[in-house]
Amino acid sequence: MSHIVTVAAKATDPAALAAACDRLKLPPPQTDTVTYFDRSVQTGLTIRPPGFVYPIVCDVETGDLYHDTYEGRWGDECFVGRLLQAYAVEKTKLQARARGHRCMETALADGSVRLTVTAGAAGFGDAPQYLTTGEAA
Amino acid sequence: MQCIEITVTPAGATRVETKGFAGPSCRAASKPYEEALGTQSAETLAPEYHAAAPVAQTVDQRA
Repeated sequence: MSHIVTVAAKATDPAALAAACDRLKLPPPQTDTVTYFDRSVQTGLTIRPPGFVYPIVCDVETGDLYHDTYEGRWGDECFVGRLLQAYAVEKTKLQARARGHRCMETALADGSVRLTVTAGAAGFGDAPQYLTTGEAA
Repeated sequence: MQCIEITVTPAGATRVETKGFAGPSCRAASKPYEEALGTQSAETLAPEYHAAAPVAQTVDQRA
């Protein structure tokens, strides 16, 4: 390995969010304004998972997700994480496609998803390409 | 082989790991993915990061 970066995923791409909903077999997100139980108001792309009293609202300007599951009584809290997982997976695939990279998806036993991105002979765009002694000869 | 491995947990925690790179070129390779996914919260550099990248050779042809 060369380096490891931990990223806090931010759902800022409506296309990736729509792909995430499709992946989770949910209707596509709709722009809407939601008033939560505490009277707070959020406007953004809304996602309505089954069993949720209040929809999840995604502010694509900040990437933040808003929800009120009342400690699981009004919706499965874990679903919010699964939505973010699906978003990160679909966003990575869109990014790989846009950059001409290959992306292979693997489901892991713990429920995680691993994406392996390779660039082929062209190499990774901004990464400097170096010649080895053998190649230069 | 150079690759970028991105692992996303069911809770949405995302880890980006570069493999097969020598020197800081790994950062340039993974940066577009990191920026597209969100905001970086932590970074760990592996020993390979500090390894000297191969120097490009020039061919010196003399008659």
